[in-house]
Formats: sequence, C-alpha cells, structure tokens
Amino acid sequence: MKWIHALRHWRRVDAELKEEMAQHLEEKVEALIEAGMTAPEARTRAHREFGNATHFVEESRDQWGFAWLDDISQDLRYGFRTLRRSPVLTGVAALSLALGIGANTAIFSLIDAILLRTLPVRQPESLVIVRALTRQGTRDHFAHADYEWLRDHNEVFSGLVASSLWKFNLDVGDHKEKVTGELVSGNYFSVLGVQPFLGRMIAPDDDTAPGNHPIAVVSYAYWQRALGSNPQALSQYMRFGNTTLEIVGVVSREFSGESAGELPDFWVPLSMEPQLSGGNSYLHMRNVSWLDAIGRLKPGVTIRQARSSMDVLLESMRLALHYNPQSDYLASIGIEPGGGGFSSLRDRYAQPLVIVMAMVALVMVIACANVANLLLARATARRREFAIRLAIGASRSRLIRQLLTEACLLAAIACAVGLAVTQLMAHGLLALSHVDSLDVHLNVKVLAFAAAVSCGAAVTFGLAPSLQSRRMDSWSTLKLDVRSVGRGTGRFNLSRLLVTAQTTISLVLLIAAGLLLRTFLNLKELNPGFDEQHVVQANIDPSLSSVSAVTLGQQLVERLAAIDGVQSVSFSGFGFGAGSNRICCVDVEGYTPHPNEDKNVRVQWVSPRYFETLGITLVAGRDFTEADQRKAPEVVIINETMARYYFQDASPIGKHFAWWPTDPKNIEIVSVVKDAKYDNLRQQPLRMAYQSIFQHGSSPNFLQVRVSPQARRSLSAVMQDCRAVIHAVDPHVPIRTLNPLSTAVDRTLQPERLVAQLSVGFGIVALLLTSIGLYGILAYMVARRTSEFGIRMALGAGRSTILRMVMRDGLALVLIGLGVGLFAAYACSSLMASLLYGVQARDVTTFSMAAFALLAVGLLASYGPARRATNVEPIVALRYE
Amino acid sequence: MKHEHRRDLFPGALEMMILQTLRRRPLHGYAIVQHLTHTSDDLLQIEEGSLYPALQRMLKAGWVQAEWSVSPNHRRIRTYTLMPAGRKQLEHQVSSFERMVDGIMRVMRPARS
Repeated sequence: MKWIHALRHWRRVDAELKEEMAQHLEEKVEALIEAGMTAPEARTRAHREFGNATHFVEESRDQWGFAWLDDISQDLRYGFRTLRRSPVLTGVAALSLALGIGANTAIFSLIDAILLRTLPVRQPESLVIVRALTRQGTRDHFAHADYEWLRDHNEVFSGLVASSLWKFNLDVGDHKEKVTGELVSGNYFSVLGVQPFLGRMIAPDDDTAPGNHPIAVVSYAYWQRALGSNPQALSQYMRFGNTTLEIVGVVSREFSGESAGELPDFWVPLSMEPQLSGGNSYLHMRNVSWLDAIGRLKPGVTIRQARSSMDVLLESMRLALHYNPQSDYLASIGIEPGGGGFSSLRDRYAQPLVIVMAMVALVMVIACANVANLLLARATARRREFAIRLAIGASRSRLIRQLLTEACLLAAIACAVGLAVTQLMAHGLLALSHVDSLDVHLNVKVLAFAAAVSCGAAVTFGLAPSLQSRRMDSWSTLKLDVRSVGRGTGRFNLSRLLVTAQTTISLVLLIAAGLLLRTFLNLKELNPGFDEQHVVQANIDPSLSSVSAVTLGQQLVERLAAIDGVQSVSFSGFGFGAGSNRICCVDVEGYTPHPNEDKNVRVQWVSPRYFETLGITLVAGRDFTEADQRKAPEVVIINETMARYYFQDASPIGKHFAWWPTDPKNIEIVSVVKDAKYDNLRQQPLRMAYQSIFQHGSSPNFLQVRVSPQARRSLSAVMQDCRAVIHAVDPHVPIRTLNPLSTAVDRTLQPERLVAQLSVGFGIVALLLTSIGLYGILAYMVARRTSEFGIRMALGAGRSTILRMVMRDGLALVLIGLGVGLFAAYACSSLMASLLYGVQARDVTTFSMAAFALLAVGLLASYGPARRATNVEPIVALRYE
Repeated sequence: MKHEHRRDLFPGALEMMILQTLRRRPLHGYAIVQHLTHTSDDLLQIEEGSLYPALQRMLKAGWVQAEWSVSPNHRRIRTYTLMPAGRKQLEHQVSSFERMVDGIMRVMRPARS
C-alpha cells in the first residue's frame, strides 16, 4: 500500500507546487504593475524572470523520487490512447479474456465453496475424518462401543469426537415441528474448539451416565429464529414427547455443525440418546453402527502415521471387544483430511469440479494465445513507432514496459468485466447442478484468484510482443520499412507456435468433452429396471401424522388411487437415489459362505402393488398382500441377482434364510423380481431383498403413483391432485418432494450431466478461439505476402496454386497441432478413466471424431484467407509497393 | 539563455542563501526571492522558479517546514520555516563555504599583487 500513499503524496505535491508558483507569478505581476508597468508587459517580464515553470515543477517532483510514478502514469495514459485507437481489437481481446477470467473465477468460486472452505473451528487443518470401512471399502459408521474404545486407546489423536444427525419432532404448543438435532460426544465442542455465544457448551461431564444430563445447546440461527434472539433463552426448555431438554447455551454465530449443507438447530449429549430415540436405543447396541467420528491429530502426527497406527489399533480392538476378524463390519479404519468437515457435495462434485477447472484453465490458455497473437500482430504494425522511439532515445526496457502496461490495462478491463459475469455464471452453474444452499459470494480468496489469473494472463500475452521487440533494431527497421518481404521473422515463428499450441489444447479438450458426453449418454440410456416415465414419487414425513404409519399408508393409497388417471399406488420405506438404505447380513439355507465373503444384501420395505406400480416384473411367485403383516409368517421377495447368487439355477421360491447366523432360518422367499437400480444408474445390480412394509412396520416415507399411459393426463396435473390429496388426508404431514420418478433418476446423473455440458461448452469455445487464431494468422500472412503473390501470379502461377499454398500453410499448423494433441490425449487418458462409463479412455471413435472436427474447422478457417490471396490482382499488388 | 543566470552560482549556493534568509524569519517563496535580490543589490540574478526545486529538496531533507496561510493582502501563501536540522546544515554549509572562499582567495591574491 506504500505506492498508494506515494500516489496521493505525488498528487498533493503536484497541486501545491502549481498553486504556489501561480501565486508567486501573480504577486510579481502585481508588484510590477504597481511599479508602473502595463499588465501585458508585467506578465511577460514576470514569466521571463521566473523561468520555465513546467520544468521546475518536474524538477521539484523529481526531488521526491516520483520519476517512476510519472513514467507509469504516462505509460497508462499512452496505453489507454493506444487501446482506444483500435477499439475492435481491444474489444475482441478484452471480451475473450473477460469470458476466460469469468469462467475460471466462477468455477473457482464453486471449488472454493465446496472443496476449500474449512470449518470455523480452531486449527481446522489438524482435523481428520475417521471412518469405519467395510471389506469392499464402502463407508460405514461406528457403534458407540467402538467409538469409546478408539477414543480411549489411540495414541495419535488429542481428541476424538462422535456425532449423529437426527430429525426430531419438537412440541411447540399443541403441534409438532421438525427440527434437526445432533447427538454429540461430550468432548465435541472442546475438541473442535467452538466457543459459546451465550451460556456454556456441552462438556465431557454431560456425557456420562445415560439420561443424566437433559441439556441442549442451540445454534445461533435457531436462537434468532425460534427464540427471538432473547438473551433469557438460557434455562428455557425444549420438549420432545416425554423428554425435556434445558437450553444451556448458544454456539458462536459462525459454527453450524461439521456437515456441509446441514444446519443443526441444537446439539445434545450422546448420553441422552435412549430418552430421545423413543425406546429403541442404539447406545448400547454393539451391532448398530450410527456414529460419525472426527479426530484432532496430536501436534506433529501426520495423516500417514495416523493411518498406519489404525491397523494396529484395530487388531487390539477386535481382541478387546471380541470381534470376529472375518466380519465385514469394520474391516479397516480410514483417515481423511477433515478440515472441511463432512460434505456429500464434496464427495459428489470434487472430481467433476477438478476436471472442469482443468478444462477451463486450458480454455484460458487458448484465449491468452489469441490475445498474444493479436498483440503480436499489432506490435508488428507498430514496428516503425517503436523504431522511432528507440532512435530518439527511449530505452528498450521502457518500450517493453510500455507493452506490458498495455497488456495489464487490457487484463484489468477484462478482469473487471469477468468479475461482473462471474456471479451470473456461478449461480447459473448452481442452477444447472441443482445445488442450493451454497454460498458462492465473492470473497477475498476468489478475488485474489481472479486477480492472479488476470496478472498471469497479462504477463503471458504481454510478454510475447516484448520478446519480439528485443530483437528490434531501430536502424534496419526504419530502413526496411514495412514493405519487407519475408516469412521467417520472429513474429511468425512465435505466432505459429501459439496457433499450434492452441490446436493441441483444443484437441485434448474436444476428446475429453467427447468422452464425457458419451459417458453421460451411456448412463442416460441405462435401464433403471423400472418405468420412470409414468410414475410420480412423493417423499413425505409420516412421523408428524396423528395416525399410525400403517394406517396413514393405507388411507393415502386408497385416496390416491381414486385420482383420475391413476393406475396403481404403492408406498415404500426408501426411494430411488434418496441416499438412505438398509443393509442386512443374511444366512441362507443350503449355502456355505466363503470366509471373506460379503454377506450383506440391501433391504427395502414395500407395500403390495409396489412392483406393479414401478413396472418391475415379477418373474415368479406372488406379490405381497395386506395379509403379510406382523403376526403372519415372515416372507420376502428377492431380486434375480440375489436368486442367482445363492441358488444359481434352482428355484429360490419356498427356500428359507435368516437375518442373523444364530437365528433360525425361518424367513421364506415367496417370489423373485427383475433387478432394479437403487442408488444410481451406474451401480452394478445389487443383491436385494424386499420385505412387506406391513410386516416390518416401517413408515411409508415414499409414495409411488403410476399414471396410466392411456389416461391422457399429464404427470404435473396428477402431481397437483396428489399434493391436494396428501394434504387432505393429514395436513400435518409435510411433503418433502413430489416429482416424476424420472426427475429423481435424472438427479443422480447431475454431476455427470454438469461435467458433460460444461466440457462440451468449453470444447466448442476452444474450437472457436482456435479457428479465430488460425484465421487471424493466415489473414495476416496473406496481407503481408500480397506483393509476393502478385509477383508469383505475374510469373504465371495459377489461382489454384496460390490457394493450395495458403491452405497448405494453415493445414500444416493444424496437422502438427493434431499430432501433438493426439499424443497428449493418449498420454493423459488414464486420468479420465475413472470418470467414464461404457467408453474406453482411448476410444478410437472419439479420438478420430475430435480430430476430424478440428481438421474441418481448420480447413474452414484457412479457406477465407486463401480465397483472399487468390483474388490478388498482380498489377495492383505490384503498384502497392 | 536559460542557464545564463546560473553561471555565477555553485552547487548548494542557492540552498545556503535560502537557509540564511529563513534564519531571520519564516517567509514564502516570492518574499525569499525579493529578499535575495534586494540584499544582493541585484548582483545575483537567479531564475526565480529554480527556488522551488531547491525548496522541495530542503522540505524532503527536513531542513525547513512549510505551512499554508493567508497573507495580509488576502493571498494564499506557503510559508517556509527553518528547522533545527536546517540551522545545523546552514552552519555546516557556511563553514565549508568560508573555507572554499578562503582557498579561492589565496589562489587569486598572488596573481593580483
């Protein structure tokens, strides 16, 4: 900031000097007039005796060492004039840069919001996420006993906290309200280092004997919203059925839990879980895993050390807690950096965002190359100007500084415009990816990024003409004038290099875009195993209903089925892609598992007609009926994958299994259905078992309504009716979502869709920029060689010869770029492999199509200048000399 | 033409005379010039503007301080005051000037006699 001070000082010194000198002159003129002179005489004499005022102002300023500031302001003014003199060039350059900077900054602001933001806690960098992993490496939670053992026996964490996010029904007057609460270990706030805004936080003492400490700490947002920012809120109570919690504190304003996108309203000690869970307590269940864990590494302990210590720790834990080492649960413990907390967004979008960032950076390089080429062309046109300036004594460094100043000016304009469009772009991206509740406002980090990109760009393209000006020799330039004929000048080699590089990068981008687009199309084509086109799905919250879950389900089915055009209705415990699932370990009659086998199957609770509603074919056996309820013999329906896995070709119907190895195998398989996808379309078919929702007694969280294709009613009309019906059946039941099932399917493809859309968009932009670059350099070359073409034609060269000459020149550049690009794409292909589906990273078709597209565009871009060359009239060209 | 008046001045002479002038009382630019011309009986004709770079140099060195005020005849003037550092500088310059004059005189005297 020193220079800002200097700039101000400089301005003041300047103004003061000018005023002082003006006063001096006036005083002198007055004195001379008093002495008897006429006014004009006095003025002339005063000025003569004063001397050259401008010179003295400059000399005075120099006393302060402002020469550099003076030079810069001169450079800036001159730069502005130069940029204004060629508005089209300036506009094109600034706009392409602005788009580049805007796109880069927009993607960066998403990366910042999703990947770089850290929890507002003490030293977030030393936090790690500790995860239980299954044998297949999938993420699991910890049982409470495991957490306690790990917390007390590890040597790498200065603290290990556990938490679990729950939804609660809070009694507010005579009705219930949904609130989000987090059950946390007693050391949660002290280990994370979160300070209270009011009152106190939960302490380790609060998490001892179960049920002993009915206290809660509320979030700042909840305190504002529900408690009216009342400082007397402490010692108020929150009531959940039979359990009452006393509010003892409000957490600091910034802290909103350790999971991005989740905003807990309150926190409560883990020891209160039995009271809050309504009788079905997990706290002492060894086989229920439900806790997330975050550890704080001891000073000096690295993640790597922590990881290796976990293996040893796990061994002793298995011994101490008598775990079967073959069990699938807790096969290993994973440690990940945890400064950002838990984030499902990060899990889903980390890889796509990094890919997109790389692409957008490459597009920026292409845009910079274009601007560099434009400036190079202009620098060549300004050779005379520079030669004259050199000849009359400007130093070479001063000229280079002039060029860099112009580049910086251009970049600054582009940066300003870019930042203006960044916000639009970032919000557009959020809308595209259906991600809300993400803060993408400009912050210091994002601004710094934009500035860094702009500066980098300015130096990159500003340096190109400077490099060339180094070779400038004032005398030969003045002598040769602009008429010099020749191809091998510096500008040409550099420009050619730039265009070749652009072609290379464009090809890599196009290939990547092609692969990602094909991945998305392949995924879209996948059959989910159910009919998503004619089904509407609602996700409701039955826990707020006044009637029992089963009754509510039955009432809803009855009323929904009566809607005009509805073919069938069902309900289930889980929905496609909803992120919730239940995994059970099965022991099947007549099947001996391998020692290391994964015994888990997915379980879904469904009502009768579920398969009919979703269009899942019943291969053999019967559907559930309302008679399959609690007291009836337990029955399940399994999918084909599970049938094949356990029974190969034999019929599974009538076979039995158990949910637990020690239980009697008395669950009967009554039918087999076709496979259907569960979490997303990419997933391999899973072993699945369906239980009757009546038998299990689960809540009807999801309702499915099949609209008859013949009914001629739009899904949206039916959806409106559904909303009304659900509301009529029980106004207290909130509808979380109500969408065509195809929307839910689409949503699981969102990251892939976003990446495909963006990469194709960037690919096209890259192609466009490259063709502009190629066109520019060829057009410029043709203009320079006009006289050469004239001579050639005068000597008998045909138009087609000239056409071929120019086209060959353009194609040579494109072909070299293509060659390098194919090689580069081939070499980088392994980076992409994990993102692709149904297409090889070195897919020949994609590679050749991208190359062909680039070649076609290259030909098109070369044709214009080539045509112009053939139109040269020999006599005009020669006279032009 | 431009450097005609400066011929008689050696480097630092102008500064020394300004400091000497300011030793009596604070003055503004025009008044300093008036004082210099009057006391030198118009023998020293300095280009008036050259006063200002010298004043800036002295401001920067901390020898003088400047302050804006309004003169009795309602003119905005900038008055320069001699600072202790300037006083010290003046003593230093005067003594070296005297030595120099002494030296020059010794050289010149035998030639005259």
